[in-house]
Amino acid sequence: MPPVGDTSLDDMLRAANRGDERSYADFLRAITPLVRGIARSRGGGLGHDICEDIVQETLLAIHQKRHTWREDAPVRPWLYAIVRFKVVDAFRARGRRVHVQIDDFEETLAADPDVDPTERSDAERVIGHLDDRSARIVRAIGLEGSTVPEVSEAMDMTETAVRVALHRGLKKLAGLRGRMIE
Amino acid sequence: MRTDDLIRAMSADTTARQPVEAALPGAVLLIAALAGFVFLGEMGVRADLASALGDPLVIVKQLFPVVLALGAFWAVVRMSRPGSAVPGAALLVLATVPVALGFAAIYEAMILPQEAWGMAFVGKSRVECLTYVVTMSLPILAGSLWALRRGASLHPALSGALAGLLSGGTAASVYALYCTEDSPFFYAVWYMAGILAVTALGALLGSRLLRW
Repeated sequence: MPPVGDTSLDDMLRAANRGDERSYADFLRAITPLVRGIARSRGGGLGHDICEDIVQETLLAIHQKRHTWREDAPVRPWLYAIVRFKVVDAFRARGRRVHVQIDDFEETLAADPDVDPTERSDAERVIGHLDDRSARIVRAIGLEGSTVPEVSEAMDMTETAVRVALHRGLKKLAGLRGRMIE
Repeated sequence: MRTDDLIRAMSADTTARQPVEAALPGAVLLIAALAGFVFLGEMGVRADLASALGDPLVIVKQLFPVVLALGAFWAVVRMSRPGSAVPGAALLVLATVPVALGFAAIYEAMILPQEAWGMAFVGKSRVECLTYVVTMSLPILAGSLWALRRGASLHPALSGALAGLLSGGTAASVYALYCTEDSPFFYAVWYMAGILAVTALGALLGSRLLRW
């Protein structure tokens, strides 16, 4: 896993913005332990399942808002601001007030996953609210690891249509999560 | 769904989205042009516009809403990006407006006999002014909020207020082309009242619509 906190994060997201899926996956995997560390250190008492839901919610927010990063600025201040905002927001939606200081990002150790929430997780519940086609696409690519061309062949859709449906599905997922918890 | 599965799904979604600064100017200018076309087409530009613009008080009336709109635009675009501060220069631009209105009012107080002050303030068209400024602002505000929803403001109500200021300022600068009330006692109060009403509405709508 690439280290968090060097210029490579900028490079990864820059490449991702050019359509490089692998760099984007690397970027998301690189920042996940950091997000998880913040969520756990702020909400330890809530249990790791809920913290992991908050990690996913935050990652979805970063995904939806990735175009608000200006490529000529370092990615970390942008990233920290989003994580701080979303983690505080996610805990508030669950009736808990937490504070996240920017210093926390330097001090918090990246946390590794030791839970594997599947059916019980919010994500699974929310995917159930997507339309059939979007849900199938999100599951096929996420759970089964299919690629966009594979899905487009299996579902008899063009690649563009698959990407559009995936994009809409994730957008809806990000929006629904916020509302379903409140 | 495990976090790693979610990451796989997200990384396959490479659909790019326009940033706020790409969508907002077009939305504002297009809607303002349409609203202005309808309004001025119906009501007409003041007949003496060219000669009136020789009067510094008319220039202030015409320009202060434009300056408000530009300052608000600059600030709201910055606020749509997490981690970047609102530039002090944008606030400075906004701050020139009350200063300019203050100087205009002092100048007016010196040239206008005191008996006429009340009349200048009350004017003949304050209801008209408030109605048209607010009405023209609404579609612009709707377009601005639509464009701003793709941003990620950490302060949705404040961003909404700036969108209102941007919309109110734009509408007032169009209205000023028609309006013949040139006393700062009038426009510093009634134009500003219309603009601030839209700013308050923007804050209210923003706190709901600009959450993410």
